[in-house]
Amino acid sequence: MEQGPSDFILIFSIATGGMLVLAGSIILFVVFYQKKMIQEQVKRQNLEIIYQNKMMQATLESQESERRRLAADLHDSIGGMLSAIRMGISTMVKTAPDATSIEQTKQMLDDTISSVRQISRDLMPSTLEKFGLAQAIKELCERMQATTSLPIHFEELNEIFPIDKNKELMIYRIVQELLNNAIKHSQASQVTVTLQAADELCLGVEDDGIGFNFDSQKNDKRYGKGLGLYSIENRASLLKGKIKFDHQRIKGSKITMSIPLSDG
Amino acid sequence: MTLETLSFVAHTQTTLSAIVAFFALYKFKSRELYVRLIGLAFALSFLGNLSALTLHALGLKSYVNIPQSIYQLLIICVISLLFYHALNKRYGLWFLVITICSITFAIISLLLIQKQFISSYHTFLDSFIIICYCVFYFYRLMVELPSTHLQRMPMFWFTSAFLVYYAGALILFIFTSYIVNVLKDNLITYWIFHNSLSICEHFIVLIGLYYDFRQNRIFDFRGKVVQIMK
Repeated sequence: MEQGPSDFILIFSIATGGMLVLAGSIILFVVFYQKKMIQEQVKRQNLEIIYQNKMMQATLESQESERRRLAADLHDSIGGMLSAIRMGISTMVKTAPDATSIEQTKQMLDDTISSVRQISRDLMPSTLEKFGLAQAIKELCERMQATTSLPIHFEELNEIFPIDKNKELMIYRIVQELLNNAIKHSQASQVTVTLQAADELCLGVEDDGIGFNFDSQKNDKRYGKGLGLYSIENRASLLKGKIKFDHQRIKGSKITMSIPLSDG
Repeated sequence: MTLETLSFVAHTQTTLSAIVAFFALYKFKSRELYVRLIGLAFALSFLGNLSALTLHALGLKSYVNIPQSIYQLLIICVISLLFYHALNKRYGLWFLVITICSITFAIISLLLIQKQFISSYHTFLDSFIIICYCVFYFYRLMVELPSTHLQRMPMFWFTSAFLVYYAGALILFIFTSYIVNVLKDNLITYWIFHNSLSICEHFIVLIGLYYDFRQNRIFDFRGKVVQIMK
């Protein structure tokens, strides 16, 4: 008779133990499954970010390569043909009876040749490839000052050693965009561009104009608005750089960008 | 295993029920609905145990099972409502049908089958239903994959507590009638085991309430009381 209750206790213990083990297993399974899924999600997100960066880089590279091609075509074929036409007109001026009107035509041609050279330089700055970043930015500032009459000062705070050409081109484009924005929108009386290199390359563009809110301008959904700032941020992120907008300023705006010089 | 041990464990469980109910219902208006329902469930447990102990102390031993029977009728409603809200108010009809069927069976069992004497059949059914709720809730968690770590979700701990308790006690509830009527056992050892499981359940629920406190900043444990106004 005693065997009955002890058998029952054994069965009861095994069954209850089994149920508890099952319950514990379910709980642990859910926890580990969720952890694994979150890890997979994070991996997928990282891969997506890497893919998007690569796409962005490829887009920018193809843009620059197209600009390079256009600049070369403008300079070589159209620029060359215009120069040849100018030489022909110069010869005609010597022999023609009415030199004044031809002189006017020659002047218009000179202006056209000058515009073509300017467009070609804006598309692909040859100074950047030949003389480096600092010289190219200095020339950009001088050219924009000459075009707009807005004083643009460039300060090279220490010697800038050459870095990767693609990086230099991206930094140049960022400075170009920032200066275009300052000229078009800031209503400033002067603009200062500073360049300094230590562990990082530090670029600053400062003006004394009406100032603006970086975040709200970037998020402006109206057509064409905010795209310039967006492309600056894209380029900066490809360079693994950081952009800082000075919110504390009472007057004008200052944008500082720091870019690591090493790839690590 | 003696009656004193059972009494001690029963009193411990009753006290813990009161503590859990207090912490779950503290700052009532600023707590989530499922936390309030947990508070209600454990408040009912506390009241049921207290009534049973009081009736026993007063010598009214024939009425001792009545509070527990009422508790069993109410707890399935509260837990069904809890999981209905935890599952974002989906499957309302299923929860309603299951609750009505459970209560109907409980009433039939109490009045006609087991009567008040043991009343373990509907307890077994309720346990099975609640285990299914818990498993289904975990299944939905795996499908929906909330972004926070599960360990920080109070409802994860509440569900784990129910699963551990009801899975552990299921076999006991199935065989309670057999143990009493066939083996002629007085259930002391089994009930000590049951109350110990219940104490474990209470501690796991307290972990869930701790995470709820942290999220809602009900208490800043450095001494200041910080309240989120809702």
